[in-house]
Amino acid sequence: MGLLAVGEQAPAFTLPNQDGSDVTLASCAGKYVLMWWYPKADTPG
Amino acid sequence: MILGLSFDPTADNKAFWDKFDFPYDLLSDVDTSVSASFGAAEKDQPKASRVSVLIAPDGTIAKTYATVTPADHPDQVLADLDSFG
Repeated sequence: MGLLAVGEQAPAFTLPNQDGSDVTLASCAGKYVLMWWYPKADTPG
Repeated sequence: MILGLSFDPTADNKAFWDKFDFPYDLLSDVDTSVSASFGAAEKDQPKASRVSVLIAPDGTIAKTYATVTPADHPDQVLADLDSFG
């Protein structure tokens, strides 16, 4: 596993949020976006 | 803005979101394809790893965090944002 390198273009995506509404990276353009991954909803580990 | 991602179905994220009243969206990447495109997961990896990616306003990768310690992470990201001006 290797994360993208700094300076590379972030891949476009469309994913459903918790309400089932699609969220796209394009809708976040012009802002800093922090994407954080978590292993499983509602677990401490 | 902030986006959380996991491989959980929408319903699980909804329950998590309701419980903690997150002020931002939790996204479901159930087939792991988007996570893989960021290098944040191997294909068919069962659970997401704790990593973060900061994307700049122009859509490029500003910073990546391969190992995230949840308690320290917010301060670290805020400090980086300050450094970007």
